[in-house]
Amino acid sequence: MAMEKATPWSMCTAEEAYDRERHMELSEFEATENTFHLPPSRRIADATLCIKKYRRSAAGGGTASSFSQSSSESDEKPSNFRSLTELDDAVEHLLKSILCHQKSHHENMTPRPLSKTAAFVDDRLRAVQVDYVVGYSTTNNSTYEDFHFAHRFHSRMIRYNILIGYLMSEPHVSPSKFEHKFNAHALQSSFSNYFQLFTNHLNLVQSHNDYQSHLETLDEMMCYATILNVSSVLLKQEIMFNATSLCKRLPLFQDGSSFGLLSYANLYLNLKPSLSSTKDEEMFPKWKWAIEVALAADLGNFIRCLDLVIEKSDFILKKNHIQRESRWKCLVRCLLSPTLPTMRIGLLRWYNKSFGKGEKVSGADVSSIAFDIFQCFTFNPIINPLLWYVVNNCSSPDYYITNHPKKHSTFVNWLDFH
Amino acid sequence: MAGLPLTEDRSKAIFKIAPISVSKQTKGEPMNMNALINERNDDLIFFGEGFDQRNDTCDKQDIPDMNSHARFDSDNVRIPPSNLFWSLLE
Repeated sequence: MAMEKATPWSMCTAEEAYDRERHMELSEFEATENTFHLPPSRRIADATLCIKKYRRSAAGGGTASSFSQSSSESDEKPSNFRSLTELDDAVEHLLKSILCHQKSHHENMTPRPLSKTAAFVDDRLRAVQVDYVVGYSTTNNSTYEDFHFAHRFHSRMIRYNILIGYLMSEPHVSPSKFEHKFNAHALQSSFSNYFQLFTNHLNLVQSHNDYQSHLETLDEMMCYATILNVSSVLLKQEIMFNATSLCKRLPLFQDGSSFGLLSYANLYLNLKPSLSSTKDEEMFPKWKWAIEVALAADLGNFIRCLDLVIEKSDFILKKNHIQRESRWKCLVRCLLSPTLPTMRIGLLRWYNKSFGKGEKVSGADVSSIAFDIFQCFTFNPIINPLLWYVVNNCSSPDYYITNHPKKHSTFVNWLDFH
Repeated sequence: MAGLPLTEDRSKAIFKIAPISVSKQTKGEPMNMNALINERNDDLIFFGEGFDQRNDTCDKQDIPDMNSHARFDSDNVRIPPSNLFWSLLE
């Protein structure tokens, strides 16, 4: 995949870059080819690589800074303020050029550790969120193009935060390398911004040709928010775990509340009248599936939860590209995986009650449950065969991946054990 | 990259992580999952390791770490430079 170069100084002002050069805050991902390997004090900014850094308000950044720099009572943006197009470009550069290669476009730069890459990407995405919230979140005079760019980069940021939170959730990744608390916060902010954006621009979007396409993405995001909510609540309810320590390394809604469900309920109510011509069964299929998972989890029916996930086990790759339908299933599993121990304990308790009452339980049923759980979740390639395939650099251009126990699998053939 | 090689014996992995022990009600002898699957015995009784049937409690240390065997070294992972990873995000 060729790495694209950004327009010089489109993602960061030259003033900020020089300022960070002086204060030794220039990342190796932003330095020139001759200086990226040098200590921060000797790095020189590359105009096509520099991206605006996140700064707390107290350090001269954030909302307070932007307001103070903008001309009073006017709509004129401060010089370091980026347009929505520039924000979209910055997000694409960070995810496509930096994250996917774990390096900048310099040929003699070797890939950096994922945690280091993620730390850089996270910081710059945070700055994008600040710029968006300060400059655009409450704007009422947006055009469709504004919506299009904001919609695109918000949905990409949501997917990124889900994915990176899952990839970095291994216990041995120390908080100094990846801070899950920030990841959780970034994910919450991305969801909040996304749903707010859609709500604010509903009338504008409804009249556009791409309305159906945007609805499909909305469906995907509502599904993620619901599943994240399910994971959060299940983990918070499970007294067996130390929820505090667990939540530090998982991308959860930190309060375990129904934030995910409530944030878009109003949006859905506003949308419903416009969808009256659509058949009910065609509306928000992913979200409806997620609601079914949530309902089963709420009732403690984990077998139903697992069955629902197993139903969505086929992943299709075409011409080295993951189909949208497969991507959604992959990211849902990233969100659900932290709850698997909880589900298993729930099932054990359930059976334990049966044993306590002296009821006979079929060994076949027990083995079936154990394997259902195992096949879905307990082994990373099985939790997420698609992601495993991707990071293991499997080279076949077209692949049909499944972990459905009843279907033949060409890739995960070790599942054919019974 | 680090991680469980695709060539590793899967059957070993299965039993290593199956956190359920099974005993026959009559003898109380522990059985592994292999025996459970092969025998399909309706007289089997099962309980989770460390799980106390009487008071419905379980010691945290006895809950197996479901991911402990799947060593995905996230820090040293090298994402292959292809459109695949990007297509997860775009």
